[in-house]
Amino acid sequence: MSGELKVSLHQTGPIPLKLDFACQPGEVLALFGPSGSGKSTVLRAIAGLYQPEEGRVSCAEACWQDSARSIFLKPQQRQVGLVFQNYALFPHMTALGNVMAAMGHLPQSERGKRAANLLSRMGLMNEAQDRRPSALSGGQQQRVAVARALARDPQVLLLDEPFSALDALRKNELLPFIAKLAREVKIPVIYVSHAMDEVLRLADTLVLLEQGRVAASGPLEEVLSDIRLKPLTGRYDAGSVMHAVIEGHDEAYQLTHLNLKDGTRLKVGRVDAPKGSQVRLRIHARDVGLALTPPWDISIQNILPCMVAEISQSESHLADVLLKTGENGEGSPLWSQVTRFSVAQLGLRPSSRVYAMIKAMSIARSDLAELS
Amino acid sequence: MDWTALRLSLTLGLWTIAILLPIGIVVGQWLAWGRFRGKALAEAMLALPLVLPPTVLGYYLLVSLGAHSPLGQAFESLFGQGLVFSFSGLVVASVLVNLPFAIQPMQRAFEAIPSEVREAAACCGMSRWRMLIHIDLPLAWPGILTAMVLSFTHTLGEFGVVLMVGGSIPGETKTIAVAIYDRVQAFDDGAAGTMAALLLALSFATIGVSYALTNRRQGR
Repeated sequence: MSGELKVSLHQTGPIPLKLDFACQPGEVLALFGPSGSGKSTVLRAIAGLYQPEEGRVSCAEACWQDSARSIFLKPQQRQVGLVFQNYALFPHMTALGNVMAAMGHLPQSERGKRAANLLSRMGLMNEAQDRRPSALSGGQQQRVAVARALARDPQVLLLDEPFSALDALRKNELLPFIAKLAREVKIPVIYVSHAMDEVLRLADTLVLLEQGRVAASGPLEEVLSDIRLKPLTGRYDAGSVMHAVIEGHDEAYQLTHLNLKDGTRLKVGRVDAPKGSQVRLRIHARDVGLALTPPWDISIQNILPCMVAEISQSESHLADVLLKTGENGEGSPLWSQVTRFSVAQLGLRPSSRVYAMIKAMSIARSDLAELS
Repeated sequence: MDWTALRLSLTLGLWTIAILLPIGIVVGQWLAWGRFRGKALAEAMLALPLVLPPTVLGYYLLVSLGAHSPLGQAFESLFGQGLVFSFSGLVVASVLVNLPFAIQPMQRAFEAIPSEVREAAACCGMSRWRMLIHIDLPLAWPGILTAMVLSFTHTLGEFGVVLMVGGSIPGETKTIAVAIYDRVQAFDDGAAGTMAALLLALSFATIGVSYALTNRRQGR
């Protein structure tokens, strides 16, 4: 049985908190913000490891905290699975023992088999299951930590910067795995991070935190495409995030054809996913060039008709132009970053018709995430 | 060679650590994780036996446990026997003297457990009791062993307090340390030498075993 997780936390200090959000079963919600913005504190409050001055946390029918009614359940009484940043595995137990330790709710005889099953599902095979954490690689430790968090049959899965302790190689190996898992568990998944590439591949919903309060929240595509939030999201390159479906592959030239929601087609480097799969892609604003007439004799493959929605000029040499794809701007938001000089030269202003040019190769593998 | 004294010392040592084990675990955890006013004062009080001259400690114990003290009278009315100059009194004194030897290593060992590991245990649904059995004790085990070995060997060698509180009654309060002194006084250097060597070997063996066990554990 699973249900919606509702969180409302308020306090003035020592860590100021002022936030409300909800997460549905099967939804992956990312708490994103700079360090010190209170992300981990929020997770700890949901888990019952931290008691904020005022708050209400409920999951499905169960109330875990309600300061108005003086209710505060201990972590033991809440069915949460928490993956700690440094995994916090029990150093004196084997991988299997770690998972079994979270199965207090099951009869002794079932625990061993269930734990072994869970670890195999996490991709940790028999031999490694009998090793202690110190004899496991960082990636294997993460798998054990996730298995242990799920061993309790939790109603909420909480992940605290699960990839921060891993190198880029392992991270790329485990990200798709966690992304798939998060969609399989059918419970609310809350995920804390300050790395945008992870968020892009894992999350459906984004809650931007700034000093303990919600600066913005909503579907990932919307929040990330809002250039006003650039100071918060923009430690990575600003850009647009959109949904697409894989229409087909061009094996000869190693290209993949994507179809955006509004029917616009995009060509990108060959994506390793079957035809028909849903993907999410990020287009960096600085990779989008603009033209007033469709240029035909150039190497750029993606030339999309768009309409200018908004232009924000900065004091530097750059300007951010918000476009809407489609002849009449009926499609997805698309950001373009060009010089202010170009804006003046092309005479761009809201509702100008333009052609956005996107190099196929500018959409790297890390900008594209397959959704299940 | 005074076998009675040796057996008495060993019995006293075992009683002492048997009583100190639960006390050390409870107080050690309390000092390691608890946050309360006067914690520094509590720690200082517990460390007092480390620096206090044994005779001074013994004197105060004698006064507070004696037949005229409320504690001594209560004990006598309950068990029909006084605390001073008896084996029971010796056990009480020994436990008090050894408090810092038992509590401090355990407190350090509990402090060394990462708080995240204990939080993870809580998030795994472990009750306080299961956490103690499956997490706290196994992880603090080297410190607990050290505490027990220190208290045991220290009990074998305790002299001043034993003499003050227990006197030197053969089979009741005459421990091996007192027996050695007794033999030296009687110019029986042979017996004193044998017992001293035995005590040395015993202390060496206990410390050696505890170090070996701790190292093997950490080596894994």
